[in-house]
Amino acid sequence: MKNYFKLVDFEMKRFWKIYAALIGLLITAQSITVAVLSNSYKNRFEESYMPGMNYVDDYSVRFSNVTMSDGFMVPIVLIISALVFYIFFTWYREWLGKNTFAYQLLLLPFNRMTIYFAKLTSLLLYIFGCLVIQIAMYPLLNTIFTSIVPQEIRIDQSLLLWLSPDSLLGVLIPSNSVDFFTSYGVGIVAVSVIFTVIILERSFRLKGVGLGIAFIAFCIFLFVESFIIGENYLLYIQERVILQIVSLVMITVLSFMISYYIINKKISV
Amino acid sequence: MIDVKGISKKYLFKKVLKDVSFTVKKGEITCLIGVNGTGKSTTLKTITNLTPFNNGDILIDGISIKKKRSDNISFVPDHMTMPANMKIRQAFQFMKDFYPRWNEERAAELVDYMNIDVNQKIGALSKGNAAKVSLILGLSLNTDYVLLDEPFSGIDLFAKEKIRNLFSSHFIEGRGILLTTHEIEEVEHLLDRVVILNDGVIVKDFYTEQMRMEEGKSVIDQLREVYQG
Amino acid sequence: MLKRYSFTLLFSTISIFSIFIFYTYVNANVKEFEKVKIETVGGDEEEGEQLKINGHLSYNNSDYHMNVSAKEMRIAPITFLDRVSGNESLFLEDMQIRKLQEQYKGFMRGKYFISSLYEDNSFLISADLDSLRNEPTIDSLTIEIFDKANETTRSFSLSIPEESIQYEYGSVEDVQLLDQQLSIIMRMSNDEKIELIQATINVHQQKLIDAKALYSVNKDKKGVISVSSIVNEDYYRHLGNHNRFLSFTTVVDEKSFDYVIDIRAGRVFQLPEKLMANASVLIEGNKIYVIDKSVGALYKYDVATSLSHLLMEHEIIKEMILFEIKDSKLYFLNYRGSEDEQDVTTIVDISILDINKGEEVYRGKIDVSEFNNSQINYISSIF
Repeated sequence: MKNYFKLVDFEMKRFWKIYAALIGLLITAQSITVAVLSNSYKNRFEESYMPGMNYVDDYSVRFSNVTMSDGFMVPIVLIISALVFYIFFTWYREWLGKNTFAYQLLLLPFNRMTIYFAKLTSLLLYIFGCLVIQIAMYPLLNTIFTSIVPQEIRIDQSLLLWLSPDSLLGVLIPSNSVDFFTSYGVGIVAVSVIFTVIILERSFRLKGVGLGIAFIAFCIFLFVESFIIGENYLLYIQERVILQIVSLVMITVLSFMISYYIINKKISV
Repeated sequence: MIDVKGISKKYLFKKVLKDVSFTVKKGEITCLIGVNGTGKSTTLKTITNLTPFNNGDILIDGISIKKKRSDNISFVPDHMTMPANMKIRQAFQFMKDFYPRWNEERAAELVDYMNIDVNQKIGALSKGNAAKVSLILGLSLNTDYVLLDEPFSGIDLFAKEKIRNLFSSHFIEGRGILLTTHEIEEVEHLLDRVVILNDGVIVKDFYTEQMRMEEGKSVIDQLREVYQG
Repeated sequence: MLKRYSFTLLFSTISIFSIFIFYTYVNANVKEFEKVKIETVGGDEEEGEQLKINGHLSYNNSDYHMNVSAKEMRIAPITFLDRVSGNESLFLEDMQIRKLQEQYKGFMRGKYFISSLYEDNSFLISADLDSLRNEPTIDSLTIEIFDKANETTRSFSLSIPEESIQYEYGSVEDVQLLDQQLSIIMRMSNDEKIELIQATINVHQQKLIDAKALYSVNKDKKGVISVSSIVNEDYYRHLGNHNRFLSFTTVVDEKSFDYVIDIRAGRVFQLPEKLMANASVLIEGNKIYVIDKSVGALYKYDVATSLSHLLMEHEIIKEMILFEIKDSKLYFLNYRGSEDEQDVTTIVDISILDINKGEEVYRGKIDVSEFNNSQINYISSIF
């Protein structure tokens, strides 16, 4: 366990500079976007408003109007892309980097599956970190918004209203804990499958790519089969959901088992 | 003792190791010699579980590596394997964190001996200094066996001399050393045993002293016999 | 040594703890709703105490199940799993089906519609139309009977006579056990016609006694013809009510005609056009009511004389939405906003009219207007 925690720390520190740069970009870009857009709404109101006009209907602006803009969303999409890239990068840099650090990792005197879990854990921690930073930015961004947009046309939104389920933010930060565990749980399943495919490729090269594709196909089959069994055996919907959850758990366990075997017995540098 | 028993390995359709068997004893320096591509590095990697093998077995002090990976071996690859943006002292810290066998005093002694600045970044090291640091990382582990892959490859004369002197020092004494090289003249006088590999097959396995006394032949003579007929 | 790992320790602690705090905050936010309850505005408070109102609420643009009684409101987020597993629906039919599935797990597999089920203290019976010959036409009726006393199930299939195999589409609309005989009302159709058929089955002999078309309409090329499903979705089917009458509406060339089926008599009669001009049929047990919203009047229809007589007139019938009829009481709802924000539904008024007494016996309301960004989307059931 100690080695696992140390390895998590090691993995976190390897990526933190790039991560910090992305977060810096997020904070800067979003703050500037909120300031600029708030200002443009304010200017539009001040330039066009005449007494007697219905300013509420014509000029009102919500906090989410500003935060659903491209300038606000692009850094988020960038970070998502970076973290998706990291899923592959965290493994391939060990083999393809300037010095083949895979030698050192695979020589470490403990079970190699620790490396797998450490990489998975650091990825998750970085993802959760992004979510927390985005939530924590609400007071800053809201302050910028409220200080620029006049109260006459401003529609304030609480944090929870801002994280509305129909926005990208609401998808990334679900409004209830069950949905949070569901979506990120499925994410963990997907990442564990990808990690397994990468390990297969690193162990068997071209043959490994074929094995990886076969593994993905099998996982999809397992998941789809849970729907088919539900139909054929007239399972209740709740039973079908349980079956689907079980299939996802099985996929994860299978990923871990295959990775355990391959990384300890078959991997090659 | 490292006991390599009949290991075979295939890469795609090509057999790179064919029924290779030899031993490495504690207190002996064994050299695995052959021209490029004969399977020397592959042999070292099979012993250290860095590549699987298809047949045979490898026992480290009687325990098969198929059952349990041994932590009593250190491996010095033929190139630097620590991240380039790491400083040397950070690499040492990495080893200290994860290896219970890491010997901090020995590492400090080797740093002094090799005259290395530990605050340098690994990516900024010359080839010679990188080879020295790789050796320090390998030799500073309290293991009974040390495997070195081409320790003299591509480095300057003075670095070679420093490294060569290590083999007759207390850093090596009492340990089982297996090294690969095709620069035999650098180490011939240091070797206890030689295993000649040709095209994945062991063609000769002998004690140098015994060969010299019985047949009056040097290691280079043996190599000539194998490769030139 | 901890200092060396301080970055990772701090980062992971703050991340995980913050997410925990966030969801605790979310839950605490909705916990405030617990103080909301069905408030009695007038009438007999006891009437309000038997109500258990289920519905959907939006709060901060997120959807929640709400369950309100005279004591408290319980609110639970509608999760992705709820939507996928069907737990999202709190409509009476779905809740009844789920309850039956819990009680009779094995028997209820593959059975999803209240209209094809019958329940009393002794039996749970289902009827299903099948196509056993694997052809596009329906050719058999399968009956399954669960004996509650013995906890046993028996089933049998009855083939539809060859000359009657002509329908491609069919649904079971009602199942009743009347004096050991099973009455099954089916709605059958093909390209040419739509028919309502009543099959009478001897349960012990497992034999079809009689099958007759109660109503038939040919689909000619002139206009659109439809015959509504008998399960009237506005007024909920309580399994076990064993209504004597069932109503349906036919639309032919955009003109509506209302009919009632007398299950025991096995006949259909049409309601007078004048009576039905603006009104709709309500059936409870063996009583037929006609409700005319335009004038706010409730009539009772007498099958024997084909006459209707006025039971009561009330503003509530005109202004509020009829939700249910049960035990000779009519339950009305009205959705509205508060004085400050009239566009958003934050208040639901409830009114109960007693048919026998001819007056309103209860008035209550559910009010969530004190909670910003909340809205009652709809009520799905009230018992």
